[in-house]
Amino acid sequence: MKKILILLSILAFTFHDAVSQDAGDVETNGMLAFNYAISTGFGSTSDYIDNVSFRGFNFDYRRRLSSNVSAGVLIGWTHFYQKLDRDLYTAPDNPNVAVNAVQTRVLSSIPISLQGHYYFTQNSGIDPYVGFGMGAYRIEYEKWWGAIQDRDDQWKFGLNLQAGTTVPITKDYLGFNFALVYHWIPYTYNEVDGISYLNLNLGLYLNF
Amino acid sequence: MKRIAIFGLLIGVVASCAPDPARDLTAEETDLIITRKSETHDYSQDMLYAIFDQVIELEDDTIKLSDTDLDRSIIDQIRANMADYGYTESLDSLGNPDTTDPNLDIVLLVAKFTQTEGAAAVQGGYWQGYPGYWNPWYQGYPGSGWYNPGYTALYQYESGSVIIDMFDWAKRNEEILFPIWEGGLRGILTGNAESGNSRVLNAVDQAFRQSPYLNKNQ
Repeated sequence: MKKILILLSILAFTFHDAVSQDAGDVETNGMLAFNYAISTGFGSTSDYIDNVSFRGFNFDYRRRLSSNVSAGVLIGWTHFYQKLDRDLYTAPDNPNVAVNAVQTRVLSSIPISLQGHYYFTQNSGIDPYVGFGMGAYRIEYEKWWGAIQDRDDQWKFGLNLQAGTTVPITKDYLGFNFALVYHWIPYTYNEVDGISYLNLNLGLYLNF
Repeated sequence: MKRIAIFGLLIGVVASCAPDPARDLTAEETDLIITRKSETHDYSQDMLYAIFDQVIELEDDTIKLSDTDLDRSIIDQIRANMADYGYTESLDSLGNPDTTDPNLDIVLLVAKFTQTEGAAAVQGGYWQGYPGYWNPWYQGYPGSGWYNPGYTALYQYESGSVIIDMFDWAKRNEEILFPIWEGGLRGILTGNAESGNSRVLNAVDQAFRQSPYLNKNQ
């Protein structure tokens, strides 16, 4: 994890320099947040995996269109993982077959989503916001019966809702980003009938 | 676009740090005990059974009989479970399996798969080792997509698997004979030798435990 944070930091500053040059340093109207995400599923997602996910992160790039509206892109990765104790299951396609197995369940979601945000204050210090996003979600489902894998990958159209706040560390440049992001993706496979999960984003943002 | 590509690349790098479930399992945790019951057979009428006292070994394209200590232990464990469930074994005066008793209801066969490559060994699909039986279920396994087309199927019994089949003796002359019950102990003979015997015997117990409809004492 430490390596990942170092990598993100290096990328943040590289990216900041590159974008600053592109924009000619005219004014600070872009923001890039790097968030670590803790996640929990709901509905059939939590029925499938009820473990809280501590493997997740996302990039949240925004550009101000006006003093309290921005548009941007969210790209992320959330990874749910649960290894269950040995148990007895009915085969999903045959009620006469019983399978005693150690099951490992995995669910990954990779959103590439267009975002819109509304800010309740106008760039003055702590800046709470709400947001809405929609885009493509790559869903990767795995169910392992012992070492036998049942896998499914799909691209799906999905939606997300955000509420969060930025908290500046330095004026106009660097700060913390805290947000709750609820994702919904109409993915169905086996017992999963619609994916919904909540990211708790804890991150740093850069203004440029 | 370049920015999205950078993000995508970084996500790929970090995503590759995710744990690999296949490496997160001990040999024992990979074991699967798969049982299948018949939709039509009435188990309540079965009382007298015979079990073939050698294990049918499928090694690639060859089928032979095996009689190791472990094979005998497996058969004895099956006998113990059948006795617990209230069945009586048909034996002749020398203590050998007896299929001449007119009241015989069911016959049990045990097979094991050794040194097979993929699912090739089961493509033969039958054996002649014991009263001329053949088991058409095996023909369906390789590549049949029983579980999930395109992925490794649960029912590909690879090397190290043991299968217990129960047949209805009254139907012994039918051309295609499906087992009325099957217990597949998948991968049970693989892994470390120390835990081998108890692991296999526990799996035999589990196959019966998860098939309570076989129990006459209920």
